[in-house]
Amino acid sequence: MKQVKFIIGDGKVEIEASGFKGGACDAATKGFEEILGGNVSGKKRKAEFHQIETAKAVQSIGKGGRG
Amino acid sequence: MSHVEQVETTLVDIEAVKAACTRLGVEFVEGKKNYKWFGRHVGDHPLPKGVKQEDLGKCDHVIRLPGCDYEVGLVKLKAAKGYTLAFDFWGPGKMLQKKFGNKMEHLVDAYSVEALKLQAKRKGFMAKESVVNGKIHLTVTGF
Repeated sequence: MKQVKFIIGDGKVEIEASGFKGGACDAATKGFEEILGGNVSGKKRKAEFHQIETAKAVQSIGKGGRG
Repeated sequence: MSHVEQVETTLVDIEAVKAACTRLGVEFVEGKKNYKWFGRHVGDHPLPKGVKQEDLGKCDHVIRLPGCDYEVGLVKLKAAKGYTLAFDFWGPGKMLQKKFGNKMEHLVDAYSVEALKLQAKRKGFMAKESVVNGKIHLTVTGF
């Protein structure tokens, strides 16, 4: 399930987006980052962020092989 | 999991500030251009970075704590979007620190929660709030 979790304390907010593939997580959190002032630090990508890009690469190789 | 990040909050949305004030049981005085403080700089503490002596006491909105002689001013940032918080921490200012935190962190956290809930509502998402180990957790779904 796609969800964004916010942990708020000491004037800071930790944001954890889960269940999104590719760059959809960035789009999901953008509006929330902006309303908090946009001062983002320490962004770490997780495994499924790269899933779409990997799948496309495999498809490209497959098409090249058939040609 | 997709990504993890951290945001140092700046107050940018006045509707969220109003909601934070309601949450904390304090008064938001929109458009008040002066916040109550000692009234003059005695030189015992350096001025905040970027602040001139003639700026002290001036603001764009005020947050008032019932029973406290001093107030918190919201001052528009010059080089960025949003507001900074200005207050005199001496004497009656101790009451402001007790309520809002030594560096206004409780006020900022209240703003963060209300701003995030407001943004979720504006986008048609669901937001669920809980407290875990003293920190507020907000889970947004419906993407």
